Amino acid sequence: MNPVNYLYLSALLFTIGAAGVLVRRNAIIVFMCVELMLNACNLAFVTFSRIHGNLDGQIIAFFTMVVAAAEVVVGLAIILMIFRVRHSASVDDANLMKL
Amino acid sequence: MTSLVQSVDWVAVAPVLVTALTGLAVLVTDLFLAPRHKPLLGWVTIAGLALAALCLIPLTDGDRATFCLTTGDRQCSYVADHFALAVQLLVVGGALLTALLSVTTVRREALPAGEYWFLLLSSAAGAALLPASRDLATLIVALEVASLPAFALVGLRRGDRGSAEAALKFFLSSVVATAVSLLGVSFVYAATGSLHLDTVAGGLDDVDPRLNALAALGVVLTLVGFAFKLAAVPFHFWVPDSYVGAPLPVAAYLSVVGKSAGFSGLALVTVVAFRPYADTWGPALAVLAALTMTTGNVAALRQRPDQPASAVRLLAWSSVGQAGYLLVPLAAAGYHDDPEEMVGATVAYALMYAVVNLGAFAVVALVAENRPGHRLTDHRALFSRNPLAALTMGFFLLCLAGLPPGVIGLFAKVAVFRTAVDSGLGWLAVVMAVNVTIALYYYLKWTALLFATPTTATPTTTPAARATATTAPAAPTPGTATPGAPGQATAPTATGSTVAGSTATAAREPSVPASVPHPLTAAIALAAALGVALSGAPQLILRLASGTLF
Repeated sequence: MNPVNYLYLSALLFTIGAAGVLVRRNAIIVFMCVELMLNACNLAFVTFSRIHGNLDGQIIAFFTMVVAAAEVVVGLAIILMIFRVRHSASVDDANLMKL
Repeated sequence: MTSLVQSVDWVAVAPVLVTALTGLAVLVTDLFLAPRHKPLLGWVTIAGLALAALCLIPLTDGDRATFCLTTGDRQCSYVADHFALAVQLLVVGGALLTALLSVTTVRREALPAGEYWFLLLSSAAGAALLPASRDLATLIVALEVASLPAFALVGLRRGDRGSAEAALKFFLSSVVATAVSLLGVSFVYAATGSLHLDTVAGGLDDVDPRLNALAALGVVLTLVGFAFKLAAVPFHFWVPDSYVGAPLPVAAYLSVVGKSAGFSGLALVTVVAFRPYADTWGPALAVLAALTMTTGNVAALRQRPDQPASAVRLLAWSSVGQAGYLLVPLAAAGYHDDPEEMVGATVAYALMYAVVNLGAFAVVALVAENRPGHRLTDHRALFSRNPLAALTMGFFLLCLAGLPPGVIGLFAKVAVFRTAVDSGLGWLAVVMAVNVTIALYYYLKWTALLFATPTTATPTTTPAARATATTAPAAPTPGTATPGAPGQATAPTATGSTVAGSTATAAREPSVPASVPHPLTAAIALAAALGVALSGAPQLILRLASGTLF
């Protein structure tokens, strides 16, 4: 299969993720969209790795996965904490510190 | 066939490794420590960071590299050159001063000790790894190692709404920036087929013309993640909120070590990796620098002194403004024939800024001991309450403003200014000059506030602040301010006379509030001593601004 198709998929995933980050208001959904963006990057890396015929891209994809996992740990902890304090996970309610 | 296993030069990676291992040791020790012994962990952290700083000494030749490929052109992923060493010194020293500041905060705010020190050390390890890494994968991972613990540090005050919101904002915007950066890296990889910075530079030299736009887009997107860490406008929205919501030492840490991660990453990707695309990132960084310093300084002007946390907010916006100055030499590198020569001015400026900004945060923490509102008005007439603290704060603020006796602030600004002029960026130099003038206003206003007469003082203090204010003068302890004195007694040249005078004043009028914590005093004394020493011998850091560091 032509590797370019994977790039189309990757671009689509990244766009969905970026649009979600901009549009959605629930912190968990926003966070999931960020993960979608990271995974779109992974797919792009693996595809470019295949096109170039070297392994660098596949290796950085593994590192991105680890980074994403660590982000999940910290991110869910923060969202959980803010939910406990405020009983809401909407980013619009985080308005305590407006200028 | 040659072995593909890479050899590791443990001495070269020692500064990073010692920091990270101390972090792990602290986390594990925390499990076995009785609660009353927990303050010990802070001192273990400080010792670990001091050891990491000592590990820089055998590397001073700047010729070590490790994690090198055993085949092909033998690219290395970790290089301990002079640029890396200078930034690592900044990071480790900044973390050390932060740790001194934190000892009291951790105890008073009942932050979880083991977690706090572990997170601080891991973030410092990431920030120390960043300037030494020479491939894009290591750069991204180091950036994340520096950032992820910082989110947790900001949100570490349990049950505090402001802290949680600050952490959420910082976290969400930072991970989006990283994702965009990663997409940029993937485009650069697509265009060049490599991740090592030098090979990327070679690959970008002769990109397939059809991939030209892709490569340029990748170059610009990659800058986003680092510009975010540097808090460059338009990626600065998290700064004031996070600084106010975070514990004060964490805000100090973000303003110095966080920024160093940003500018060192930017310097590496632009000057080393993306050099062939200087006509793309040069103008981008120049615009970014102009926007950043203007926005930061104008917003700092707008701060009202009687608002809660206005002192921290002002320092936050001033740190955005200072980030703009840090960007000027990097932008100038895009226009200069020899871009590597420019980076030194940024490093020199960052070292100066690290010392005096941490010092300023330390004095704010000292004032908050008695008046916890972090208001600018709490600093009114500090001179009559604590002359030594007021004089050091005045010195730090004048350094940030770039006026004598803050000689080093002036010289560092001149070095930055010169890079802009040398590379023909006249308009940026003019913008910078205007901004330095704007910044004078709020720094001098704060300085004047320190020395104002106490008669008009504090009609707006909170009940808690009033209670402490009434109890504080009841117990005058003449000895509390003296730990600051030995460091400053050795102060050379210009500021020496004023500081010596202040010591005499302190002895004559011991109205220092009771029980100033010793670690805090030590942090202020260390920062003041460094600032005065650098003002006396500016060539210590200005040496970096001449010649190349790579």
